[in-house]
Formats: sequence, structure tokens, C-alpha cells
Amino acid sequence: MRRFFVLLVILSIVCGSVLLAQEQAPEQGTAQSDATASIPVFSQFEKGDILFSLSAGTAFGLGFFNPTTGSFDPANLKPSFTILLSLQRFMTPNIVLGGEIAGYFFSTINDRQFFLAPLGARIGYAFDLNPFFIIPTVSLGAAIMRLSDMGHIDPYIKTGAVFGWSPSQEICYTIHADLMTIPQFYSDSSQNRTGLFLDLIISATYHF
Amino acid sequence: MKRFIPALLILIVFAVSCDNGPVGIFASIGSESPIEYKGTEVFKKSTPAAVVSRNGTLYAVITTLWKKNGNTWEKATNLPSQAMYATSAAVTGTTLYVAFLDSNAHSLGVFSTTDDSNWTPVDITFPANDEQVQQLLAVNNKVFAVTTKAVDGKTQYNLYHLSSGSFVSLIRTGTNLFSLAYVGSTYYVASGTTIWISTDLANFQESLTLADDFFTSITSIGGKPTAVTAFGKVYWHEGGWYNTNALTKSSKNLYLHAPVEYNDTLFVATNTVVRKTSSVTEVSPIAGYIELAFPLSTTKTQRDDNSLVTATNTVFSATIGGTALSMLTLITENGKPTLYAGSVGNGLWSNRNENGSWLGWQRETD
Repeated sequence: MRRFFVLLVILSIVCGSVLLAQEQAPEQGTAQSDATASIPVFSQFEKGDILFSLSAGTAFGLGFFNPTTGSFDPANLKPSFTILLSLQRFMTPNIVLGGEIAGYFFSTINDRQFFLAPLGARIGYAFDLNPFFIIPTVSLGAAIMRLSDMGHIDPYIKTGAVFGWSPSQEICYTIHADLMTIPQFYSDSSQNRTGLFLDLIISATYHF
Repeated sequence: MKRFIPALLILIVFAVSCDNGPVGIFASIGSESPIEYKGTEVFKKSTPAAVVSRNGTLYAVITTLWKKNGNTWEKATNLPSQAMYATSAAVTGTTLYVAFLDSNAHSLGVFSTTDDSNWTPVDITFPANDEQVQQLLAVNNKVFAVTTKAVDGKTQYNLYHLSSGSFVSLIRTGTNLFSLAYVGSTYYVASGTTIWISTDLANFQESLTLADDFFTSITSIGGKPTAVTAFGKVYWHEGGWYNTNALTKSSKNLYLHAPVEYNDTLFVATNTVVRKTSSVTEVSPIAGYIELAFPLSTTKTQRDDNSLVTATNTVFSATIGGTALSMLTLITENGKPTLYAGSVGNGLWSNRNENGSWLGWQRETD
């Protein structure tokens, strides 16, 4: 059931974006031919541009660092189903600033359900390799977590990069690879751990 | 907008961190070990009612009667005629007593066996047509039965004592399941807000009555009758009644039941239940169990929010999870103390102690 849902979400994102790209194709062709005539080098992003991404993918728990013992506990998590929404605005033609919210649905090796929802701000620097682009990013925020009847909120930092391809000016497809670090603090310090997670996410990004 | 974003960042990064749960989430996940389960889903998701031992053989009441064979459980065969379900079991000496129901959940009464094959009805007139046997208890090598009966739309609990082949009514006014202990020639009977004492099982007198709390279990621990309550207190009798302060989590009193003791540690099950008194209706905070160190003290809370965490509890949380316990009992198998925990909808678990160390919770399988 879950696989079906994941497939459905991914298909929805891809099909929706392809349809939108097809609808915009004639206009794009005209604009491109006009632009080609007047501006030989075409910049993908301008100050004030907005990127809105719908994403789905998976994440892997890499381990939990135990500061008491100085060693890593095993992650004991199966790969997650992950959805992510992000909205970013170009402050300059290269610097992009925005926010993100995601939901990670993990199962532990004994099938306990672990839900993780990071909510934070993201900053990145875009390298324009038209029609491709790379945006190294850093995200900072709070991660809301739930395991069985236990809940917790902790800060997180996520570093990574977005690798994108723009078949048109309105739509682009991206792959995110991020390392998320979540230090988890308790009043009983023996329970403190720092969790490490690796995200692999594909997105349909709307550019307007 | 320019002020909002930095303010939001600061708020998110520094201001949001709450402490909820005795066990760290990452610590709990990291401490998991894979559980191989080859049994049926029915057994895995069952709610065990009782585990007892007779002559070194373990029996469990999980909808029906089960018997442990090696490392796995199997349904007991050769049950009494028409017996389909079991509600409770108790053992005195080498005799196993089980309360059975037929396929329509009508009570068949209590049967006994000494060899697993030949079952004898204990008292063919028991229970009465309008009563159901809910619990069998073995105290001081005697068998007690607790039945329920609907009276004016409410459940009335009745306590019986098996005497000369017949169940004799003792106290008919219980508002909750009865629990018994026998210490120093005296029976201590707890139900609802009251503990009664009796030396002859004929005459009872009130020994302790609570104003706004009720007893869930009483047992003999360390030679003292020890009772736990629905609002987190432990009472014990030592010349007079003493009690701890209420055990709390997040400023809410725990719901305690089924205490067992091993090696100066009291294991007490906790449940998340809706409980009511004349002035309070609330949900108790955590499910699982806690450990209390002896000696118990009247002057302080035995454990507060922070010290509810124990190594054993962490392992428990990583395996059984936060589900409520239907039963918790300590049985010595081949000289090794073993805790058996019935989890509501999550099967039967055990934790064996070898050479002074608990080996960790393992799922029992059929």
C-alpha cells in the first residue's frame, strides 16, 4: 500500500510537471527564439525569481552519535518515504533564500513507526550551467519527531546540493542529496544522541 | 518581512526543544535489536491474561489455554468438553485451575487438572448463571475466584473462596477486581478504595480506605503486604499503613498495577487509562513499567520524572514499545527468574535474569 502511495505521488509530480511543460511549450519556443536573437547568453535565474518544489524520495538513517560513549549507535531504520515542499526566492541571480517543510515516514527494524518533520529556512548559491544548475544549500530549523507515544522537537542542520535540469523556463527537475544532522537533547543527558540522515529526493520545481 | 525571517530562525533553532518521554527517541531506536518472529500474527497481536507455572511447565491464558513446549507456545489440547476460551488460570501445588467458556462465551466454570489431560469440574454449581469468572487467584495455597455480575447496569465484582470443593462467597460488594495477599496468618483483600483483613476468611474488617484513589493490586513483598493504586502510590503495612508520595510523569500521577519484586527492586506495571474518582477524570501518563528500589520511603517520591529511565526500561521501550501491560508476573524457570509481560494487543514477552543481569525483553512465539 505504501509503495503504491509513493509511486502515485512520484507519478503525480512527474506527470503534472510534464503536462505543464507541454502547455507552455509554444510560448517558450517564441520567447527563446526572440531571446536568442537579442541576448546570446541566457541566464536561468534573476533576482526576484521564485522556485516552488514538490518533492518525494527516500532517506537513510546513518547512525546516532552517543556523546556519552563517543561512539555511534546503529540507525536501525528502514529507508523512509519522504515528501518535501520548498519555496525559495532569488535575492540575487545566485543567492536563493526560502523555507522548507518535509515529512519522513520511517519504520524501525522492529516496525515501530518513526515520523520526522523538519521545518526550516534554506539558503543556497546557484551555479548556472544552463540548462543545468547546481545549488549547494544549507538548511536550519526545527525537527518535530514522534516515535510510538514519545515526541520531541530538536534543531536540525541540513547541508547538501540540488542538481537541476531546466527543460523550460517554467519547470525544472532536480535531485537533492542532503546530509541532515539532528542533535537531540534531554534533561537526562544519557539519552542525548545526534542523528545523521542522508536524503535522496527528486523534485519537480516550478520557476516563476 | 525582513525582521520576521531572522526572528523565525532564532525561534526555530533556539526556542523549540521539549522534553517528552523517559527515553530518548534516537537512543530508543539505536538500542533496538532485530526481533525474529516466526509465530502467527494472532499470537503476536494477542493480549495475554495470565502466565502460571505448574510442575515446571508454563501455561498462558491468551484467549484460550496455551502451554509452553521448548521455546514456543502451543494451544493446549485435551481440554474439557465444549471448552473454547479461557479467562484465567491459577496453580496450587501441582494442580492447575482454569476458568473456561464455550464457543458462545458462556461460562463452563472452573476446571482442574494435574496431568493436562484429565479435567475435573471443580464446582458444577459455580458460577451462577448471571456471573462470569474473570480471575482465578492462588494465595496461601488456596484458590480464589473473582466473578462479575451486572447489577442495575453496573458491574459488581464478587470474591469466592474454594473450600471443600465448593466456591464460597466472601465479599460481594467489590467495585473493582479483587486482589489478595497472605502475610503473617492474615489475608489482605483489596478492591476499589478498601483493603480488608481476615484471618479466617469468614470475618473481614476494613484495614485501610482511601478517599480519592483506588487499589489495583496487593501482594506480599519482602514479608509485607504491599498495594499499588490507580493514582501512583505504593502502600505497605508495617505495624500500620505507610505510603510513598505519588509517582508522577509530566505532573500527572502514574497508574500502577501488578507489582512484582526481585532482588530489592519492585517492578510495577503502568498503564495509560482513563481513571475516575469523585473529583478527577484524567488519562494516566505512560504505559510500560517502572522499577522502584527498596526500601520504600514515605518521605519522598521514589522516582521522579527524570529517574524513571532505567537501562531495562530503555530496552523495554525499544522492544515492547509504549503499549499498556495486561499482566506482569515473575516466574522462576530452572532456577532463573523470568519476568513475563503481557502487552495489550502486542503479545507475550519475557525477560530472563542470568547471573544477576536481565538479558532483555524477548517476544514469545507460538
